[in-house]
Amino acid sequence: MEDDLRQYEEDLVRRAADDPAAFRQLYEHYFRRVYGYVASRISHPDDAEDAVSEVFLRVVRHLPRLRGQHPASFAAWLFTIARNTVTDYYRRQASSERAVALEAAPPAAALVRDPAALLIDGEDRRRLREMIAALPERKREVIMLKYYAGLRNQEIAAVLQIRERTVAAYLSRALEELYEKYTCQEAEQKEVADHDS
Amino acid sequence: MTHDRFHHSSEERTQPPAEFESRIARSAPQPREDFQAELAGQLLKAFAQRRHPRSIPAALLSRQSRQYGRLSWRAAAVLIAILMIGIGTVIAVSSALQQFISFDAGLKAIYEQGHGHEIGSSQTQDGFTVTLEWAYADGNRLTLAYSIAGHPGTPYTNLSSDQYTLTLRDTGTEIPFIQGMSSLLDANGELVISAEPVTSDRSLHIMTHDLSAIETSSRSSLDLRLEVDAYGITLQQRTLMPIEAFNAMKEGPEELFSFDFSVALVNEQRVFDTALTASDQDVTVSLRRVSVSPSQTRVVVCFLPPDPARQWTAVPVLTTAEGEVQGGGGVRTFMEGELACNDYTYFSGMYDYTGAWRLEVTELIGFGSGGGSDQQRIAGSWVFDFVVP
Repeated sequence: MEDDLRQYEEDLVRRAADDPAAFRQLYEHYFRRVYGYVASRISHPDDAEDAVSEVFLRVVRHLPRLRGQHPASFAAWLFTIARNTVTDYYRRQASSERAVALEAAPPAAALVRDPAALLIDGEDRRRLREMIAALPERKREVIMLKYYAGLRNQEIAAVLQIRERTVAAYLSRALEELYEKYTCQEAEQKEVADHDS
Repeated sequence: MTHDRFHHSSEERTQPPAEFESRIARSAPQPREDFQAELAGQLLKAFAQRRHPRSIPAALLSRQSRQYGRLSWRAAAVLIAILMIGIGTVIAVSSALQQFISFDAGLKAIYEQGHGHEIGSSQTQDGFTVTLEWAYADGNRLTLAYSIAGHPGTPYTNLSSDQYTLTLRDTGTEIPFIQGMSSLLDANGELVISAEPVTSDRSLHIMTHDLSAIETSSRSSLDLRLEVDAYGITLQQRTLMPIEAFNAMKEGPEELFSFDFSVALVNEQRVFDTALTASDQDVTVSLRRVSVSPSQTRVVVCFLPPDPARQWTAVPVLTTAEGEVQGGGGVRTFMEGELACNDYTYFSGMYDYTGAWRLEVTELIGFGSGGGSDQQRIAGSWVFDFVVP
């Protein structure tokens, strides 16, 4: 079934360079995943939207060139564009007055300051995003590509240009770290609640 | 009691349950409600316009079009209508074709000059009608438009072709396809540009072919054969499905539609073919040829690939005194001995421009065999200034 889906997607990708309906199917399938990944790395909502727009515009422009190159995975190609777009964004930021060093660019969750947004997102989601944001860079990226972008390990390896085995190792360690922090916090919160009552 | 993560060794760590992974996935940032539909609208316009990669700053596009998108559509249609009346052209094509033409600066230019031929030849099989609507040819490109009408009133979500070939009748030579634009048509015969799934019983297709590789100097017209099939699909909802299931839903005639027709050839072309070279990053790039026909500009550059195992593409920016040349339509890559060559197509109406040109190559990208992310990128500046005689 997974192979069938992949074949169907390959067919869509082939047609999408010329056929707006095929392109729209791809867009609708990937939009939320691209948004989730980009917005988790760019905190300002308008900037995140512009970056997402730029990602898909680049896809529109480069799809005709993609035809005939048969990439291993459209998703890996798409999220390589997304990752490059985020990198370009921080480069532009770094070269402007609001200089933010590329390596030190903080992930989105660490910059969330809007109380209304926090309320809407829900405490649990916010807490998880903050924990992910606090992970070391590589682990953070692997988690975001896995769970926000929905990529397979092989595709994450292609985007980050590391080995699949390395992806699996980062993923396993990052998940364990997150889970441990998460359960510790929950236990602490429960302890405080029990104490208060 | 406090829980200290440093009291655990890695062996003691608990394996996270699958539910925790779902929880992480659900923590992804969510877009605001209207953003997906808004962006889809912009992308469909960009899709149709297929401007040069560097011609539209994405941020600018997304912000401006949020306010002016619909207005510009109507303004473009009115402008085309005025131009048609003004020049007294005899071409009468559907409003949808006019909309498509307005996306392509090269076609728009030749349309304003009265080039192009309405054909209006139809064939019907098993309730499906294919109509060859319009065609144009010059030394660089051939563009034709055809429509498909399915069973009247059927809500097709896809109305298209799987098989499509255009050949010269006398030699049987197939004319290479460059790119196409397709859209369902609404009840008024206009393009359906919508972020939402739409249905229709009619569609329009504009197909552009590369004539530069065909010897046309001795011809005043082209005798052509178009062979095309037609199918329709009525999907209840758009979703990913196996290709076999998708193909099984196609309904349409078994036989191909075959049209024999002729198109007058507009033999107008200006060419700059003095080789120029520029070096940066230890790579020398040469500008081989620039050809300007009424509907299209072609630019060919070649360079010795930094890594011969990769397929290389140069990223160009073509400008004139009037600004950046619009309508970048794609690149054909080929090898000339050891040299990697790129033939760029700009669907732009620059035939009447006689001033200075500048081509700047800003990056070389080498694609490897490991998929789209397997790239070697070399940023630089290779600049060529010239005048096309």
